[in-house]
Amino acid sequence: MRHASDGSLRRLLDEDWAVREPLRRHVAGCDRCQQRLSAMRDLRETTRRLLASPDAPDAADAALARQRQLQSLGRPAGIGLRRPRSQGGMRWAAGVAGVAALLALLSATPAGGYARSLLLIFEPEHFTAVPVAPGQAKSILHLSSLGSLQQSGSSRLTAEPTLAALRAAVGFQAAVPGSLPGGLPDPTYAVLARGTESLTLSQRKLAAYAEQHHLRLPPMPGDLSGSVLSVTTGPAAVFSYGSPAAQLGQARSFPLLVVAEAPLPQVFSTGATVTEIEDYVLSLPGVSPELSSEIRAIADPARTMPIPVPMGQATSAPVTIGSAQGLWVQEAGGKAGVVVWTSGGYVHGVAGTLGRQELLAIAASLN
Amino acid sequence: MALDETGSPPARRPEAFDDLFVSEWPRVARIAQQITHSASRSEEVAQEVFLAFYRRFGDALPERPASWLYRAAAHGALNAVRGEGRRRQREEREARLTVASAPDPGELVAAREEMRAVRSALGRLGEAQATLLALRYSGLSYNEIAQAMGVRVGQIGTRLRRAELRLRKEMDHASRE
Repeated sequence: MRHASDGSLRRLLDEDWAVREPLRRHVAGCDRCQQRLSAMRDLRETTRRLLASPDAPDAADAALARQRQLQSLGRPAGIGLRRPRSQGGMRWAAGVAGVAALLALLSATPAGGYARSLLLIFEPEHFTAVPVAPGQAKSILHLSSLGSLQQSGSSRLTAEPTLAALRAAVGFQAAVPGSLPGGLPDPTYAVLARGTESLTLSQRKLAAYAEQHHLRLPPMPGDLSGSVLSVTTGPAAVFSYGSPAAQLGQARSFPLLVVAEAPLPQVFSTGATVTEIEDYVLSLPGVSPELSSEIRAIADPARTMPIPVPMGQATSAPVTIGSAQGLWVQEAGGKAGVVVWTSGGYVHGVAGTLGRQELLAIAASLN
Repeated sequence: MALDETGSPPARRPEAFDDLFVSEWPRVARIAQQITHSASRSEEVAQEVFLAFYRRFGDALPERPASWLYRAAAHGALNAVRGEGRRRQREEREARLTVASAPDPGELVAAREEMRAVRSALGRLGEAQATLLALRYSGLSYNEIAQAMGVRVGQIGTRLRRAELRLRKEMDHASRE
């Protein structure tokens, strides 16, 4: 086989999964290619050092910049970006629970939409189960009653023909199961594009909603109204065994096996703190004292994602995946389950109808 | 104006620009910072990029708005570093911040000189090469770079290698002067 071109070797350094397997094998066994690769690696490190910038800009800088730009544009501050009053600074979260693919799976249960609503409020790095009565979810579900919801980016799964194409589309090396039970069909692949959702809290909208539905709702504290929460999720890589990955969102039943991975979502609040939002949401009618105390009992609410588990319909248990703590949620009938955890800046999920031991073993084998 | 798949102009959505700003500003500023080596200057560039974007497109986003922003960030940053002279005070301040923990004034001077040399070398690179380095070293994937620069993804590795070699050559050249 011919030696690898400069371009292929260079890509091998950064995105080895995008280089064809025969070429990777050749490079691995070729002294000359290895020498060239080593020289390229040295040059890459030199370039990285030269171009290294202190204090890379982050979302907090973005919010402040946005505020300045709104002023320079003379636009009304409709999105109202302002500094938070809390000592916590801008509330960007390296949270966990925003992987829309997993939420799509979870939405097969009543807890699904519930989890999605809480996603916007917390900054999760861990999952914890919160038992709720089946009827409780509704009171918090109406996020649209609290303000204006805006969404950018597609919420649809897009099929990718190969693993390499999937990885190229998401821009990271999605982990694959190291071991699978025998007899599984080949996987299909899909991508959920990066997206942003934001909620602008509005007392005016809340009052209109309450009037329309003849509800008596506690007024939104003045500090909350006008605050903007936004969450950026994805891109998510999804492997599906047994059902077309791109059609998972439309499936009525759980697929055999689904493996999903995405960067940790970023949750951003421009005014309200997690505690302020939590206090208000838990004061809404329909939230039982039990649920309220369960959520308030979470030791680190800013980094913990409560997954509501409807009593009688699902069960949950903490599990360990490698060195990470995860959460296992299973339908009461035992037909389907999902395990979610975070590792290395990514949130992972393995779900399906294979059974708990099989799914946890697959989760542990991801590499 | 970009047309969507139906041949219609993209729909206006008042919040579209705000969403784009929130999601892409850090990356745009990071790309600019790869070239300017200055937090304050990169923010200025990012502001200019978004301002130009807004004036051009408003809330009717073009297809692949992020690609437009990335390319404009690199272009704006390159223009900034090529306009040497008016930044002296700022870069001295930046260098001081960079090595704030280093008590040795010699390190301060060396850091400042290296930042200036890198900016100068990037300014001497062709726009395509400097843009490529800024995009890659700010974290864009080969796929994203290809979209932003309008080239095939298979060309990125070769171009990146050449740009790195050229930057090293320019730095070597500068160190001999």
